[in-house]
Amino acid sequence: MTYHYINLSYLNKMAGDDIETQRTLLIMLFEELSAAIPQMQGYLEKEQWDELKSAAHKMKSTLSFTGNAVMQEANIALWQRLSDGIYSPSLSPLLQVLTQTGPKVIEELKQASTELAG
Amino acid sequence: MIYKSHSGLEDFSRVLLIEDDTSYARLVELMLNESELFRCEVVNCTTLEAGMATLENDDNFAVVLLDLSLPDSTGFATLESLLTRFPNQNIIVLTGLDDEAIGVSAVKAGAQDFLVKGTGILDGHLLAKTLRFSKERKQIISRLEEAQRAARLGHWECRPDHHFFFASDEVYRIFDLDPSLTTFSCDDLLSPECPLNPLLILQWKITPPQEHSEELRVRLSSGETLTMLLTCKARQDVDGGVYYRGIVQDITQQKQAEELRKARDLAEHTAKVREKVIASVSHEMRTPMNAIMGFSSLLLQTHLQPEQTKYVKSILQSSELLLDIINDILQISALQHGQLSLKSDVFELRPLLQQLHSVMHFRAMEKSLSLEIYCYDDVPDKLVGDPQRLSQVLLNLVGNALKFTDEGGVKVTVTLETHSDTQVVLHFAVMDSGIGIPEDELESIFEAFTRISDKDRFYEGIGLGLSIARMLVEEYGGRLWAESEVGAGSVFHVHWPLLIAAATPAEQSQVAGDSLHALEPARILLVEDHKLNQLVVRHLLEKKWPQLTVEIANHGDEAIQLMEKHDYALILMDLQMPVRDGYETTTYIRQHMNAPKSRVPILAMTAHIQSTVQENCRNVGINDFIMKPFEQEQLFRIIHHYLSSSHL
Repeated sequence: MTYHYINLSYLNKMAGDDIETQRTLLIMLFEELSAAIPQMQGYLEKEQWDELKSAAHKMKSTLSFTGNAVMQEANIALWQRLSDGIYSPSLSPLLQVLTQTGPKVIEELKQASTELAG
Repeated sequence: MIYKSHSGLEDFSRVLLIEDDTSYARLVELMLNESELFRCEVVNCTTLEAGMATLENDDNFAVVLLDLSLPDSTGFATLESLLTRFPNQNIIVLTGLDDEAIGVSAVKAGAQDFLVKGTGILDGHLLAKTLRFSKERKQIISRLEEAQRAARLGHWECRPDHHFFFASDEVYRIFDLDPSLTTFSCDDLLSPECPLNPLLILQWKITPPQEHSEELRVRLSSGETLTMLLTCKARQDVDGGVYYRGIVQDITQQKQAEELRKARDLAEHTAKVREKVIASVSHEMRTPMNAIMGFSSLLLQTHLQPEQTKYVKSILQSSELLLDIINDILQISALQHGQLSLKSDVFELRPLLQQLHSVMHFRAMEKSLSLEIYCYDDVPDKLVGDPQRLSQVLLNLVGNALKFTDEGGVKVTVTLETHSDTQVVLHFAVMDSGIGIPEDELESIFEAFTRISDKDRFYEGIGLGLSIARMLVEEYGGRLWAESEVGAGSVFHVHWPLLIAAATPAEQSQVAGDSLHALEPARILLVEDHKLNQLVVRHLLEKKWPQLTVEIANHGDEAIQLMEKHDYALILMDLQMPVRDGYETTTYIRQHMNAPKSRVPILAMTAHIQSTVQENCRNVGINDFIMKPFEQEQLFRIIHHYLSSSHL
């Protein structure tokens, strides 16, 4: 199946040929994304900058498994700005990339997981 | 009594005595020879003509003593003749007993002084004193004139009641007049046509004891316009008469300098404001630009018609171009204000050059150009410097070379310019077979907003790239210059100093792939809060070495608790974690736990390759690093190194 929003080459490499590990990673990944992105949105709205920075840092590792370059770059830019102490409206468009693309990525991760199970 | 001059008089003077009475002349000479007050040599001429001929040949006389009754000239005409030919000569008139009035008139006409000849009146002391004072007075006046000339400042005095007006030579010169040819009387000033008429008008504006100053712009007969500062003081004599004294100063240069300074200050202020506005606007534009690019990328990922895809790609390309320009402006602003932070990271040169080739070879292919990059074998690979800035400079130079080349190609060579055990200066040469640059533009191309022009072509860009590249190279202590010939291509040279990176322990004992299997059973502690990373590391290691046991701690506190219960052969430590981060945990292990636990090898897992992060890690006792995202081979190699028998 062709995916538009994910590239699982890194995930597959890390999991080796172990289908079960691949599937476990996929499930962990979409669960992680499903929880983390709304959480980050909440931090932004409440201006909890330290929490948002910490979440963006964690998201760097998470997103490397999805292979979605746009989300990765947006998240790195978000984390970089927070690290530089830039707390401004400019963070919002970056997080928007995550909130808008995230569901599509999650959807495709679920599909990939289902495909592996099948 | 010994008289000492305070005016810097020379010890010895020469006096020209124009006197037809040779016995009197001899008497004068004898009197002066005996005087300590004024030591001199006396030269005697008996006619006016002979005197003037002597002055013509030798003007080094401190004083001229002039008898008014000579064989070839008598009376006041004698003085007038001499003054006409030698207006600056210091003359003392000798008069007879009955001619004292003539002496007074002579002084008014320009003589320094007068002496009355006759026994009992002209004594040696008086003669010497008069000559000395005359010489000193003349010297002081001469210095005053020099000072006035240097300062373009003259003085004047006017006594209207006595129809007296005097102005120093410099006043005339300021008004572009020759003082030896033109002088004005008090009555002359009344005429509006008189150039010095403003000095009279100035007097009308004040009464004693007032003072007044004003600036006057005067257009001279030469066409030049001067700005003068006129100052006047009104004073009253004891007899009730009013007189005026003033100065005239040419302040044209000061005014011009002041105007230039104001213009420069204004220009600098304007430039600063402009830079600030540009930098501020650019900064503000970057955010929406990121949004445009981000959403365009998202749009591309949706189902679009081919035509729509084409449009969105155009938006993306234009946005990237615009973002590059914005970034250039922001960077040059940072460079100009010394706000660039210099980085010093460990990096590998050849992968950087490979990356350069990967990025640029598509552009070369689009124009059917070759792109070759050669790095000589003796160039060390692992270096310490700023790979991002080095890449930026090389990308700019190669990008320019491709832009201005239509046939042939671009070649990059990297050689060692100089080297020591710890540092190198690399020589990067970017050669193209492009249009070339005229010799007189080889320097100006490095100025901001300068673009290489071609009458037949338009090349995109705003002319900041080379300027930024040179500033960056110089920030890092290097040099960037160009050589070129029109039509034959260009070579851009960079000398870039870098440190040679020390090899890490893991690299010093590179192991062959097969030997990675040869490990004893061991227990490893993975301290990592990220579940996916936990799973991946555990999975990779246990699959690679089933004899290993990988235990997991979600943060530093959990790690310490586990370490108190078990011994581990190795710890893999994330740096940023909740509760207790990697730095604190390592510090605790090294400082508060007992050996052998306190000596366990700890490897940091980090996405940061900056030297500061590495230094911080080493400071707390971290042994080595594993880069994230993980590369399997790197992970296996470094863990094998630390789990080999020498470390257990």
